[in-house]
Amino acid sequence: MFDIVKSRINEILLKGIGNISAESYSEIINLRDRVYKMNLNLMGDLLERFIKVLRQLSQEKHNEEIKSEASITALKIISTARMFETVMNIEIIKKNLHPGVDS
Amino acid sequence: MTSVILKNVAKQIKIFIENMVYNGLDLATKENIRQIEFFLQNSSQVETYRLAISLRYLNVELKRFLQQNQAFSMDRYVFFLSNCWLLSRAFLSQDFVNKCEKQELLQILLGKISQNKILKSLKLRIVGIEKIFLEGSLFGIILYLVSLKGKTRSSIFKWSIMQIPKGNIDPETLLTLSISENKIKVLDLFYKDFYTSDLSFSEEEMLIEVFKKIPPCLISTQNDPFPVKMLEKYHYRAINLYNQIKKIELTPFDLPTRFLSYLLIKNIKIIDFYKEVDEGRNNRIPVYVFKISHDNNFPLFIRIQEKSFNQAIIAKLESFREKKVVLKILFGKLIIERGQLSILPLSVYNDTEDFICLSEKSSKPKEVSKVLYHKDQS
Repeated sequence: MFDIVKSRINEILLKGIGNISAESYSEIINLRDRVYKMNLNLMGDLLERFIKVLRQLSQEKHNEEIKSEASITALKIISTARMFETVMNIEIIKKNLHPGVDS
Repeated sequence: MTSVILKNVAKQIKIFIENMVYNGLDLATKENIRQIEFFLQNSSQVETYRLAISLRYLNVELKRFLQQNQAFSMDRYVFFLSNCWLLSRAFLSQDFVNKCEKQELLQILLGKISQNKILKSLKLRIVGIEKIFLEGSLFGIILYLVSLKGKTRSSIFKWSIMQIPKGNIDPETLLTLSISENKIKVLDLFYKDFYTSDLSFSEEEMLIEVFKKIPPCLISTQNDPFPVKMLEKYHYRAINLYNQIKKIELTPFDLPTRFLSYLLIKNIKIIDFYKEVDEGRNNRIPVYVFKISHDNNFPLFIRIQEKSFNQAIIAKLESFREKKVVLKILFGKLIIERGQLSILPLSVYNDTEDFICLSEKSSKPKEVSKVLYHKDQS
């Protein structure tokens, strides 16, 4: 899941937030729904915030505050995905090691 | 005063990163490279070394992107972009820099470099070799040495021999070059115990630097037995590793790949392998994943990137699998990556030791020196 989030964000960072296509926008909406279904609420809330800002941005393209908010939200999504990935990594390994642990 | 300058630098970098994110890489220009170089200078002046290192790598990736260099990695670019942003934000947060109770955390975030010490004398033995190749920036080898005597007995030291890449040279050829004024080569130190004295030593990284004027001194001309006993403390069971992993403190700056500790395993068999190709991610290098069994029986893999200088190790591992070889000892670096524990082999021991990443190719030191040190070679 985090690979998918990272992959979408990578695409956005390549093209720029100001140039997000309609296709990418609907992919982010899908992603938000999938993330919420998995109870990853922190990530879901960030994606929800990002979608809202993108909507605002489509109406006020030159509003510097909204532009900055969009970038900040994207960067928060990146750091949160990184943290989640690290936590998941560690938890999976702990789970794999545990059956081998002597009681 | 310094904190005011630090905040100004951090503010500029934060705004720059946010603009990069908004505009996208496709609109990046050489001007952005110049800006990063300017930030790099400023952050070094205010001694924010951690930020400076992230800026340096961000610069490397951005240059690669603009030059359409195949070594460009979007994941790495995003990683360093995010690091720069997080650090800048931390330095800008209210009262952060001035609060005494956060001084220790501040030092970590600034990345203060500790002073090297001088170590009087060490009795050492090479127990592992790793090849390094960072395209366009560095290549070389890291020697892993176990201390055979004294307070540091059984500790692993690293000795890094690095160069700026020139020509198409395999890092292992550096082993043939002389490391001291009396012409001793790293190769001469293989399979033997030796003394070194007056070494520069970084405690944090366990890194030693051998001075050219004081060459290592061999104890005998004959080969000494592989020091398995000295490495026994790294023969961890699952519970030891579980407890080590439980203690890990997570930070937003963590790499997706993390070194956990050194590891010694016994009775190793390579039972399966597959090639991991991540189609969804651009420029991700395929990885050979070897599944292994060993005496302590916890899930363990060997992951090797498909790079030209890794051909020797991949071929050797393939051959062990095909011939169903049972290796007595494998010593390596235990790595956490993608929800798996993997070991990067530094050496294997089956009656004789084998630095598994090395090929059997011989190279001529004179030719290597010519490529590395002569001008106008490209």
